[in-house]
Amino acid sequence: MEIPAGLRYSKEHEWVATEEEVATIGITDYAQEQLGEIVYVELPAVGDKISKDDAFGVVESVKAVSDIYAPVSGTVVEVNQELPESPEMINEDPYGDGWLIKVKVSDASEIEDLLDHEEYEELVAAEKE
Amino acid sequence: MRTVLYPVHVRLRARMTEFAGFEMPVSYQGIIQEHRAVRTAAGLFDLSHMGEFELAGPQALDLLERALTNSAARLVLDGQAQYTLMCQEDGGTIDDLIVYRLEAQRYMLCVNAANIQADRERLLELNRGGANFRDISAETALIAIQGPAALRILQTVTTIELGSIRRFYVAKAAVAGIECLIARTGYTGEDGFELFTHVSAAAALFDAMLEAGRDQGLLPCGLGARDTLRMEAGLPLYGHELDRQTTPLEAGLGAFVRFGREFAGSKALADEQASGLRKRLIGIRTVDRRSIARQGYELIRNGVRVGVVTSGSFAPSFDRPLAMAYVTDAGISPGEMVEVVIRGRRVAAEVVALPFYRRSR
Repeated sequence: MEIPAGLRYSKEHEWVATEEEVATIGITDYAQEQLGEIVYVELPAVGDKISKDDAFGVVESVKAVSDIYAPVSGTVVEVNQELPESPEMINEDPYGDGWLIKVKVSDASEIEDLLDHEEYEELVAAEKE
Repeated sequence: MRTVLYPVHVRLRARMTEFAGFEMPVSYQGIIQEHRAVRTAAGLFDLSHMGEFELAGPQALDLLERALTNSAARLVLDGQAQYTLMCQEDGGTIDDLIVYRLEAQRYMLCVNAANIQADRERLLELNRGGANFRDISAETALIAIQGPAALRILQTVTTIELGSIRRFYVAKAAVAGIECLIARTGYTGEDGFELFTHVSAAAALFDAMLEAGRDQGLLPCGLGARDTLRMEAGLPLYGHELDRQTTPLEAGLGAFVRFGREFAGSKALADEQASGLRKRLIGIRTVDRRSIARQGYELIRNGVRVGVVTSGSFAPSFDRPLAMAYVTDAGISPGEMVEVVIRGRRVAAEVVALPFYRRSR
């Protein structure tokens, strides 16, 4: 299982990569492993506002439905158009082609509050217990 | 609780889940891959969580006749088996199960793990004649091999001519040197076998089967694939299509209710048969081919609630989601459209006949 350095993580197993004011958001390798094969994705539209800790989308595996929670607040500027047709990309490349949305962040301090990769590793290790 | 095969699942790196109080494998390599293995080659399942009872003695048949909806008296040959249900007096379903006639006056029942205790209590309550009852769940392991290659694979590790065991029959034989009851039954919509054996030999049997199927496309399969396979085949799962508020007739299982005799629930079921069913099990598929109607989601037609989804999932054999649902409106038939409420949105779905999947013979 991969937890890249350089990304920030939420306790709900989303990752965030920030460039300028835009945050790319996805779910972590651990999250996709727990879910199993993802067969359906529901994402917001460009221009939608999302707020930290609120559900902004849904991923469904064969077995279950899971909400995806916003790790930061902001306005959606881009949505991964490939995912509705190929939701399995989240399993295959959670930190790459499986990204979900890009958001113009409204409060940069929210990013600082997220976990770094070492803290997230500890969280995952604790959950695996 | 864990089945005796728990260490095998850990070794095979299964993803585990809780089911009926047992830590069971959901999948090993992936539900979709395992599902496809069973449709095209074969899959191997640990079903040791399921319950087994032995009923014996001169009163055994009488107890089965009074407790179950199908008539065990119709099992006229040793080794014959039948699907059947246990009902409350009001016709609500306590469990669905398989009865195997091992010999005259000796039967084995295979029941759902979640209902072992309820079934045992019900049978003992009805056992006025004093049939010998033994709960052999703890000492019995159950391993299923299912799929078009199941017979070929199993035949390489047993000397009994498997072609001689017909569908819904059971025979005693050694598999890889291990004493088993080999039943030609299953829950996947495919041909296959279920092997009952003593727990002490279960791990050796599971490994021998994996080895026998190594080059034949056999995969170990978890409960995830078991669920998608049975749903495609239109087979009910207790807790979804069957419960104490649902009769076998409503579940479309009238073929397993033998009227013209007295059994627990016979009066209520006959009344319902005469007066018409309160609800009916149907199949649906969302027309966007993506949205998954899950258990508990409501069905709407012309703005009115007409039913509720009991099982729904992505269906790997069809590459689209499918679902089963109960509807209260008798007019709803295949080809018609309904709406299913998915997270507050109404999504169009087409009614289709069950089962979704029927194997080609």
